[in-house]
Amino acid sequence: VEEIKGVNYMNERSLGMLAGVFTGVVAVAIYFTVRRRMGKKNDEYDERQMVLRGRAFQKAFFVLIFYLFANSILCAAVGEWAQNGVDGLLGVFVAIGYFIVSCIHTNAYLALQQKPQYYQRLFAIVCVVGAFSGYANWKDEGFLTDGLVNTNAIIPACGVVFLVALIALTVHTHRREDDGEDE
Amino acid sequence: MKNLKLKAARAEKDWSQQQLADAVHVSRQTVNAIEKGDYNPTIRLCLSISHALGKTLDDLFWEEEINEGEQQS
Repeated sequence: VEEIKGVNYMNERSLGMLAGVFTGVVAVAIYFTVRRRMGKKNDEYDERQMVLRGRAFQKAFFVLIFYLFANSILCAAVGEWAQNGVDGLLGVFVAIGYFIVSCIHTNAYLALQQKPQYYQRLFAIVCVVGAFSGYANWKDEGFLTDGLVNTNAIIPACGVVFLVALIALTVHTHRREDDGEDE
Repeated sequence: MKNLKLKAARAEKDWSQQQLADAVHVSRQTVNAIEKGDYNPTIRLCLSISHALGKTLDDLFWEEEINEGEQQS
């Protein structure tokens, strides 16, 4: 009976995650449809930004490869430290975080028409949601199951990535304002 | 290598980096990077900048080849 309960629990979890992904896809589709109907153009990056974004993407990909390689060695040496899939997902967050920070650092994150204030607010919202959700998950079941990092840690980890991005964007925006018009 | 010709041409028109950037649809940081020599623009952007500033490509981007023999003498 316990085993069946466990299977149902995992199914609920999987369905919950699928519902989250589905909601995300629908939200993004609605966002772009509304933008198109309002006659807004897609975000435009200039040629230097495109080059730098490409480089950042390339490096982020290798960061992910390195993470997966290091993780597999760690797992072989000291054993599993996270539940199935969680460690890989955390690696994806690390790579995405690297990409965002790298782009922000080279002025290639925001398109020509985009304002940093909008993204600062957006990142702050994701951080707050991540913090609340993380706190609720921690109070509910904690971040460890049988000594392994569980799926409860995913949303707060996502929040941490956006917190780092928020700090990077804020620091960079202030620095850009300080550097004057013509260096 | 810094592109002082571009900076001078921009100053001649009394344009800021932002004004030039808006005229050629790039970010101010891109104009800054070109002037500082940190970024080599494509020929398309070079043409846009030249048109915007009313100069030729040669005026803004041509660099005389430095002959090593002449340099040593």
